[in-house]
Amino acid sequence: MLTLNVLVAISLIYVIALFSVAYVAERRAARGKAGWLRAPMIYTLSLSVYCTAWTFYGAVGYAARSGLEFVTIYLGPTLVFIGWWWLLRKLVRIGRSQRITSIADLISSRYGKSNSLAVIVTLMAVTASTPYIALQLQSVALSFSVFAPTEGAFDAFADQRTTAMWVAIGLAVFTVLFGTRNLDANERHHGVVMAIAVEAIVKLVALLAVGAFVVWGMAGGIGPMLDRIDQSPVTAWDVEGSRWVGLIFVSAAAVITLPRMFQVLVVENADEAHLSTASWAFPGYLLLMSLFVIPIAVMGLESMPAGSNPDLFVVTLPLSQDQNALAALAFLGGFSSATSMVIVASIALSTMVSNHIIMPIWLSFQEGGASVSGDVRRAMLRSRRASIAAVMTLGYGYYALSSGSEALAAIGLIAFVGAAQVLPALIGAIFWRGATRRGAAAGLIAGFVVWAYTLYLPSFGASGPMSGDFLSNGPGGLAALRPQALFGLVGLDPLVHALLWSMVLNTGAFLVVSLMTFPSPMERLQGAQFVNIFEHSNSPRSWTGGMAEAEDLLVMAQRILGAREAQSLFVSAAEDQGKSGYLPEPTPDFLALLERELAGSVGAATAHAMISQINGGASVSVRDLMAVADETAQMMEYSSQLEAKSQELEAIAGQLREANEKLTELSIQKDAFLSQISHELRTPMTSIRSFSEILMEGSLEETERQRYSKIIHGESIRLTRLLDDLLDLSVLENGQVVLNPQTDTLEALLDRAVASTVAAGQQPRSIRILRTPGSESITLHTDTDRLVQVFINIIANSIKYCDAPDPELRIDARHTGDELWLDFIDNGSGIPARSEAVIFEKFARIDDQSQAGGAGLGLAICREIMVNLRGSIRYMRGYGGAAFRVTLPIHLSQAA
Amino acid sequence: MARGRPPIFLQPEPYRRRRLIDAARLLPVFGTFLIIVPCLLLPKGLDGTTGSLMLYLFLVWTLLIIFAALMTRYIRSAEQGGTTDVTSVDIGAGPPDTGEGR
Repeated sequence: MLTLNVLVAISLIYVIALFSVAYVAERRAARGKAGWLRAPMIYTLSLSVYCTAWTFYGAVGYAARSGLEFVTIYLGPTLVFIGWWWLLRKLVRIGRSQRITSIADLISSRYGKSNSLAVIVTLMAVTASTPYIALQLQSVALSFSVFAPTEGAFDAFADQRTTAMWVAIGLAVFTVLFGTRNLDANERHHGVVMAIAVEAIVKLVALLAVGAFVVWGMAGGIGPMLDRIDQSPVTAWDVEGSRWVGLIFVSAAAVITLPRMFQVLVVENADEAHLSTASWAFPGYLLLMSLFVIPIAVMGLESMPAGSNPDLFVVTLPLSQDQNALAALAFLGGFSSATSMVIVASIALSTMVSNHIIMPIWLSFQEGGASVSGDVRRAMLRSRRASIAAVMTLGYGYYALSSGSEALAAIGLIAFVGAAQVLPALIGAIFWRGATRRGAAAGLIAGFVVWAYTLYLPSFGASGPMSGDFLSNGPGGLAALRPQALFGLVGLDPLVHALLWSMVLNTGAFLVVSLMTFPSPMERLQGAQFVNIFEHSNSPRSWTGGMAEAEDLLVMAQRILGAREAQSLFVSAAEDQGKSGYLPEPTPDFLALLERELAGSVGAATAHAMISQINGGASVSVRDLMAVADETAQMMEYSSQLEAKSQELEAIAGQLREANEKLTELSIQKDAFLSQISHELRTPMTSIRSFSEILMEGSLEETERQRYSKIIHGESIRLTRLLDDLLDLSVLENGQVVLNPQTDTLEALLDRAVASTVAAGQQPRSIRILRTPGSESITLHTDTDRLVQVFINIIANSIKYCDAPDPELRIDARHTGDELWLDFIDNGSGIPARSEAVIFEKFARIDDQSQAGGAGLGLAICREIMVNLRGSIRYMRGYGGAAFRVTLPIHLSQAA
Repeated sequence: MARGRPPIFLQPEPYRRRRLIDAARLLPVFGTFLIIVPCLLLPKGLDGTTGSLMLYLFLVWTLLIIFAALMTRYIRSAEQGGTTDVTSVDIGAGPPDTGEGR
């Protein structure tokens, strides 16, 4: 027979092993070798704090009483985890990016960092969890008592109470040692998580071993086992549909909202990718945990003496078959389940109590806020440790006072329903931007009150705060307020009744009040952050800077984060700001960063309060909100400006390309021009040189000498004219020409031009010029000399090139609109189509007739003149002969 | 630097990935249906139902776990296939954990 002493020894060895595991893990993490400590499987195993002693022992008892109903407690979490894309993914992302330390912190942070909400959630959590912790202590004490000699002089319960006390003290020591070693920025406890993972394996192995022993050792295989199930008292399906659905719902809610589950699921999460593994591995764990529950229950009911406690079948069944080692393993499994739950629950609760109740009170007693002397860090740790001790004491006190009554057994589900009251506020927090702080508070309080009234208080039975008369007739005989038949809803299972009313009133109050109230700017900022967590890239501007001194902030940060960490944080922030010192400017950005760092240690509300004390209370205002919105708008505008700029640049690049092509073309033209001009200059120079050489030889006839001199003279004149033309052209082309405006009639100008062509004459050919004098009586105010030059050129060209036997030139003037059109049309064959494009170019001559005597600059000069006079000259096709049209703006011509 | 609007039509790879996520989201809906409906329809107090219902529930449960695991694997391999989805760009996550105690 396994004696109590042996069992105590085994337990002690096991506890020492757990301490060492936690210690080693903590050391490895401290040395930066966290590696495998953060494996997804460790995370998954740590989630097993869901399976407490209530599930380890209680599931079998539950199954023995109500058959398959126990499985709802595992099916709910399964659905939540395989549906992690809906909720858990977002929750974990928010928890990590907002440095959430507990579920109270999440609710408080989302609803404008309101500490009062955090206090409500904390109180609810403590109220619901204390009996649950008591239940764990009871289960350990009970399982010890199984091994104790039943007959004896001692009072059995007194014995159990002593056991429970020692367990409570041991757990408190463990939790203080590994749960408050530090104020980890993300509240991660590697040692605790590792120990819990080990315990998770122990309890799974224990349950599987007992189950395998029952199925194959006692029943003789799967087939016979199924036969036994069919013959057992639990063979019939006897579950109310409402209870089935209600329990699945409440367990699904609890797996998220129970403080200890939130702790391991969100706060201790080291990597979001772990969640994807846990999404199937944790349901797998739950499946294995519940695989043998029915067989063990059936076999226990069958083979154990009537009246034995079904909650203890897991231990008593192997014991009755003299399987002492197996019984010891089962005991360790139950022990593990109980201890891991108590440890994590007390860490989670103490964080909440310390951050949201003790610290704010302590801070308010500190005059001048956190910057006065006194080590906040040490105070934090002390308050955390005191909270753990308090939570543990509450649990133990509850256990001792309730005298280990059967009422405790039901507390598991009652605690679940209590924890589920946070669900509406939580869902609203991360999916609905319209959820407000007042709405959340109203929902939480309504749900909490209804839960306490309809489920929690009645659970104590008639001996509790509610008398039997009160329960059956309602307060003062008001039947509508009967705790278990609220508003006349009778005939429902009390748990489902409480769940229905609490959730309906909770959600209703939350929605209605949220719709009716208006959130503060901080709430709206945080709401946007939480709801759009996957789109937001940075934290909101929550501080209007200026008031805080960097020194004060450093003093405060050192007290909470520790000197080294705080200093390195400040130095790196200063570097980011481009400052050389170790103190950064207290910009809003820096204040937000610091607040988030502090929130990792003390929670969002407290961190906010501490900074606002130093910052002089300047917090977010509507103007800041507008600034945030403006910033976004500016970003969008900036990006569209950039887009426009880039288009502009593209256009400019295109223009540059065109200009470049033009330049290349011009360069080619210039080369052509230079070669042309040298050719034009060389021809007269050659004849001048050769004739002057002849003259130098002397002995020439007078007549010959005169002839040669005349040739030289003529060539020089030609050369001079060429140079004149070139100079003229270059002046015109460069726009450097100085115009000399005069007033004259068109008729007079044409007369001058005709006269000079005839006079300049000695023309080999003559031309008849036809004019319509009436149309020429237009007064012009322009550079008349230049205009006459153009006319002369055109007329001279006609004289030179008109190939008609009886050449004539018609000059028509008319004005259309604000332009004067002057057409010069001869009756020759005109200019060949292929040459039209070039006649206005320099040195363009249609044929090689040297009779032209010019260098081919005439029309080029004409075009430049007309451009300078704001008019134009064009060659027109289809007028019979060569036709030129000179246009001149009339407003300019009539300006006189 | 403007992230602009997410495109209306996706490349085949992100499209496939989104449909996988849709499937992952649908899984608990199917699961809820399979778990709740038969239990509501089952006549109560009939002997011999616990054993077969237990087998049924555990079968559904196992299948759900297997599908969840497969889905996770597919989504992860689709993610590693390159193309990041707009909705899953990791932003705003806390600073990397140094693993050092403070």
